[in-house]
Amino acid sequence: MKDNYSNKHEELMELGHDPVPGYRPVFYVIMTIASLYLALILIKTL
Amino acid sequence: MINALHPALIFIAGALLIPLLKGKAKSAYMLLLPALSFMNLLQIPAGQHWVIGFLDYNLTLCRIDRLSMVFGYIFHIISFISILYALNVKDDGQHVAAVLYSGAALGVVYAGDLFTLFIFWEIMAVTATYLIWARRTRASSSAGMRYLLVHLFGGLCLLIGILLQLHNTGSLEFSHIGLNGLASALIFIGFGINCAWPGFHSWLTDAYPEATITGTIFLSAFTTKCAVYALARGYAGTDLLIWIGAAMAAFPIFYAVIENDLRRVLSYSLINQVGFMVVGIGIGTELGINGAVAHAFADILFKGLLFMAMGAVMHQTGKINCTDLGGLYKSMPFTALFCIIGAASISAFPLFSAFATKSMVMDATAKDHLTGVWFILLFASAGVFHHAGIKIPFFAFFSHDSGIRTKEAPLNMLLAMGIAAFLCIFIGSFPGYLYSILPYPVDYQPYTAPHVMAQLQLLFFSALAFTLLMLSGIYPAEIRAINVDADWTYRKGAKAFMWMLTNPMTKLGAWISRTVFELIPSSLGWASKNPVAVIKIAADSLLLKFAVPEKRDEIKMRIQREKEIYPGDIIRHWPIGSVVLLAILFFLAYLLVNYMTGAKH
Amino acid sequence: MDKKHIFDEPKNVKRLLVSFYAILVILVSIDFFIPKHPHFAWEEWPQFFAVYGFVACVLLVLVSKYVLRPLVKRKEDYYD
Repeated sequence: MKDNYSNKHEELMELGHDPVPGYRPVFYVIMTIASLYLALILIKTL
Repeated sequence: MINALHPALIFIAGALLIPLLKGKAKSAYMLLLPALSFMNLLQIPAGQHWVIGFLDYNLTLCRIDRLSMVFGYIFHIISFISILYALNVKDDGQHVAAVLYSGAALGVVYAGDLFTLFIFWEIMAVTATYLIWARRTRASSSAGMRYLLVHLFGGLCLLIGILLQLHNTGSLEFSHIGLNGLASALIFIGFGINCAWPGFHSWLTDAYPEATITGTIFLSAFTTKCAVYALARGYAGTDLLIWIGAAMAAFPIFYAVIENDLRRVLSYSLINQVGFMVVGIGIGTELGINGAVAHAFADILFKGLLFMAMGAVMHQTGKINCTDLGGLYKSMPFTALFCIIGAASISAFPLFSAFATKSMVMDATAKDHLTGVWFILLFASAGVFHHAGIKIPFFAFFSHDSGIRTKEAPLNMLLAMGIAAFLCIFIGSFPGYLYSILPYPVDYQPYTAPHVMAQLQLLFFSALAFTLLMLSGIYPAEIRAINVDADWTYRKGAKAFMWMLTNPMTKLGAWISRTVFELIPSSLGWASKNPVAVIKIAADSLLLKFAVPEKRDEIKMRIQREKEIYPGDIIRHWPIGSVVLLAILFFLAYLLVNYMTGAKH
Repeated sequence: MDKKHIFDEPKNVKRLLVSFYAILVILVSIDFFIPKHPHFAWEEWPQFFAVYGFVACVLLVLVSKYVLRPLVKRKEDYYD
């Protein structure tokens, strides 16, 4: 059941996600800290 | 004698009357069916009923106990919700198939013996196939055919297993079976195929996204959960199930991350959730079984809710891919809200249903010190939030604005989603009601400070991972593509088989038929006209091969002449006397042979 | 023209993100004060579930993107 709205819509082949400047270093830092801390926990307890 | 009908009867008989009614009466009648069936169910006391003799065996058509009742309750609830959701569909075939399918699912969980179970099991396979075919697209008709073939194969394993089991034990009763030998292994695999075990799972992710919008709601509720019920009944405590379940919980989430079709994402997450149930069954403790059953109960509701939300999107826009959707919260705010409630429930947010049910399985794993499985399940819990909890609502309703503007879903769909959403929150907020109907007494408290804290941290930091990956542009692009899975083996395998059939095999076949049916009979016919002349020609041809060069021309001439006059005048060359002589020689030889073989006795 | 919706306004998206980060900070801070009685020793460490959830999801996405997708991705008409 299609509606009667006019959809100015073209189908994409690919929907990419543009980076927001400045976020990538934040991500790397958090990922590094989290991985190291998780590794520490697991080494100490397993 | 009890004053009630068999639990599956109202659905199955009632389904056949649906096409006779029209308009509002039809809608009212369809909604009345699960309600009537439920009231009927409550009239049946615990125990075994409708035990009938069949050949030399006793079939128990109905067994009421705590395990079958939990599934009975939730099957009634979800069939009511799904029928409500499907009311605007104008296709009697779908309605009849859906109600029959629900009835057959009830037949499975109430079956007291394996043969009755098998019959209802097969009815489910056929009616489910109809719900896939009813979409009437090319993709759905081939996916439906594959679905049917896989389930017929599973049914065959089950049937052979049941017959072997009957041969071994002399009983058809369906109680704990356990893995011990071929019969039990075949039944195990038969259940496992419907349970979508890894390797046997791709019928689900292949067919569910191709089924009709409303059919998928029914499908997502019954087939896998009947298998969960059957495994809980027959194979509780089977260690192998722990690892099968862990694999089921883990691997589909990777596919779900890169999948573009949102209903296929949900299909992968369906396998992931059933994985938790299978782990609980494999552990087999009271907590494990309770957890598995409770999670099945919750999953039917939230997975149904998510499929309904995606179905509503598909119904209004005709689209279901991440690449085509986005920004729909503007046009469909209620559907978006219900979808978020379903997403929160599947992710096990505190106050939402899975928080109270999935954690029982986690706890059962921890109590048995299954460290590896516990880590895998925790990973899967974070992953499910990532792909089902965030990806589904985000790409459909938010993300980049696709420009699609549409209307909110029809009222009956919104009502159905509303009821399911209410129940998701109700179970999560007041889990005591669900706990009180579980197979074993429950001594479990989900709302402790460390549990709530742990879950909130797990989920919010999973969300942080999503946010940061998105904002730093690392999150994989949504791409229109096919991701090959285990169905590759039979989809490409079948193509290879067909190529074998059409190319080398047909050539071989043509050669055989030409040789056997044309060449040999015609040459025999030709030779039989004058065998002696044929022998002469053959002998001369042989002679030609070995003859000295100066003789060759002469022999060639002779062969040519012999061929020209063939078949020639047999009588002239063969006076009657010679024929009689030949006959006498033949009889003599026959007598000799006869005498010699006879002399041995 | 289309009316403005809540997330068309970049300010609102920013508000959402800020409140999300605030919740994260709150979760991290009160975790130190929650008494724990876990099955496993690692559950006692502060922020265990936070870092596990974060690392798990990042690994999930990276493995899907860089390992699984190159292995399984085919054209849309692959089976036709």
